[in-house]
Amino acid sequence: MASKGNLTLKSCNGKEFIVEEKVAVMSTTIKNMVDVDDSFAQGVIPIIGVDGKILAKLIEYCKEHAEADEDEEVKSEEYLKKFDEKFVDELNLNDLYDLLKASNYLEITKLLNLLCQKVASMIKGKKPEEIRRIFNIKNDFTPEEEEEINRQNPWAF
Amino acid sequence: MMLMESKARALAASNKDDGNLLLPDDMMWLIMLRCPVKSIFRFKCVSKTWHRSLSDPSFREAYISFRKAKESQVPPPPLLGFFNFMWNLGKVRIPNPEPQGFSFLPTSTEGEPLTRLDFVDRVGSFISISNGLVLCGDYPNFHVFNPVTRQLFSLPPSPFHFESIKDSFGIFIYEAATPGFVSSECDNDFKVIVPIVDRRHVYRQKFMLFWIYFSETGLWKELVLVAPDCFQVFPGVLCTSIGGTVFWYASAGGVGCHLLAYDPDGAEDRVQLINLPKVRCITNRHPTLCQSSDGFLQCNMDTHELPGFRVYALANKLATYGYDDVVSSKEWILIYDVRLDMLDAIWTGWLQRCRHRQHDRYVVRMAYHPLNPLILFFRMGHRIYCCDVENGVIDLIPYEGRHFYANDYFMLRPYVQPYWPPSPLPKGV
Repeated sequence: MASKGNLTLKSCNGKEFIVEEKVAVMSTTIKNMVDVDDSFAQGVIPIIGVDGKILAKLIEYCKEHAEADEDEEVKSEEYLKKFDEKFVDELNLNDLYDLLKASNYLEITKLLNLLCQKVASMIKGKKPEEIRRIFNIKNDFTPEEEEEINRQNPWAF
Repeated sequence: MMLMESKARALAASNKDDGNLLLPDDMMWLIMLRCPVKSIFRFKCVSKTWHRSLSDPSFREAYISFRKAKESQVPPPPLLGFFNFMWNLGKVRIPNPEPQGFSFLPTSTEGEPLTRLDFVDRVGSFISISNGLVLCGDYPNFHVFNPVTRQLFSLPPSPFHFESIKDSFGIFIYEAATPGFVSSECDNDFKVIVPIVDRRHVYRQKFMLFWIYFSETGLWKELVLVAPDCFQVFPGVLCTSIGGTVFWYASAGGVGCHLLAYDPDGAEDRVQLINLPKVRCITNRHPTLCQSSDGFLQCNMDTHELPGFRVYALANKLATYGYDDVVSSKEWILIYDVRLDMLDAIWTGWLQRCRHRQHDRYVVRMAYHPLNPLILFFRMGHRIYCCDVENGVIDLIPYEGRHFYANDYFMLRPYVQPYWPPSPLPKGV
């Protein structure tokens, strides 16, 4: 493994990002690649299926958190909390989904948790038909079946 | 690298549905873990796939363990309020002023619907709470219900009769004492344990007759449970259910007080006896019990200087003491000596105001927070307080509605909805 230097990440649409290794290895997937194969540490790491816009967002998040992990004084827990809030609030729905999928694929656990929490707070308390609309899900129950399920859990409505 | 490529292909495939915002199942699972339980039950009718995965027992288990883990930072379920019920000491026969037998005092807006439990007027006396389910009824009819989901299950009456035990024990009059009740967090089953007390029996015995209902089989069983020494459980004495074990306060005659502990999953026909810590006290009618976060039995005793109390914990886990000997009072270790100094000011004013109302003058310990062994509820007159036993800080708990009956015959039990609402209905219903 190369000494703590910089890594080059390449998005699926060809954009290259040079990032510090400590930032890149926030992703368990990248960390495993670098650990297993030395050549990745020197060369370019292709991030398949993630475009430049999303990759830039991922790097922005990882950078803040990697720096906070290193020096708690400069970036306090409160600072990070505010950063996280702002980070998810600025996302539109499409970006939110793309980031979710990318952070799952790259195994950036902290970000994945943050994004899941965001989606959960968006959908909690919503009616089933609203959920179907948000996730574009087809209602495959017959009216009788749906009524039966509602009858079992009247307290939830 | 192989792994990375296959994951990337999956990612690329899911990207095709971009307009549809379809998320892979494992991510939906992660999101659902973070939704309130009410939303989960509501989302069951989104689609067949959602119904299947949200009804899966493995999802329930994951949901509970996710909520319990400190690092998930989910706020704990709120205290919904208190059940207020008449605590009949057996000897005293007074008319119950509550038209329904018991009432509910909500402490949060989420608890307010519980004041309108329209079925409670036909379910008899309040008995006990275990893991979010409530046991109520009067011999021989018992009912188990979930006050939040309003599901009620009536137990079949016990096939055993007092007459049958009269024959085997003589001519004494028997009565069912306060039943114990244990409900499991994950398996959706419960047990109702009815000790049969001989009201005229002057001798303490090493054994006692119990009737136990198992929701798993739907059957009652009659069992004689054997203890390591003589004891006597009085009719009407309150029981406490902690982690699958039921505790009753039992008399050991002239030699002090016991706790009687029965774990139906431990030894089927044996009970444990535990001597209480030796404390000089005036109002220790019954100890308040709970389990510490690391699994040790915790017991709360009043001290003779009011106001304050002591918290003891057993030196070892209860199961390790076995069934052959009485657990000595020396096994209790003092862990907190709580001086309610903050109460002093209230206390002085209080004493002056209620000089003529004797029963308002005591600090009445009620119960621990069902999910937090460091929070104890007590009352003074009509006021309910919670106490952080680590530092003795007390807070007044505001509740909605009229005053409850704050005399010696009434008791309050806190109700917190568990992480997942348990169902009293037999499996498959």
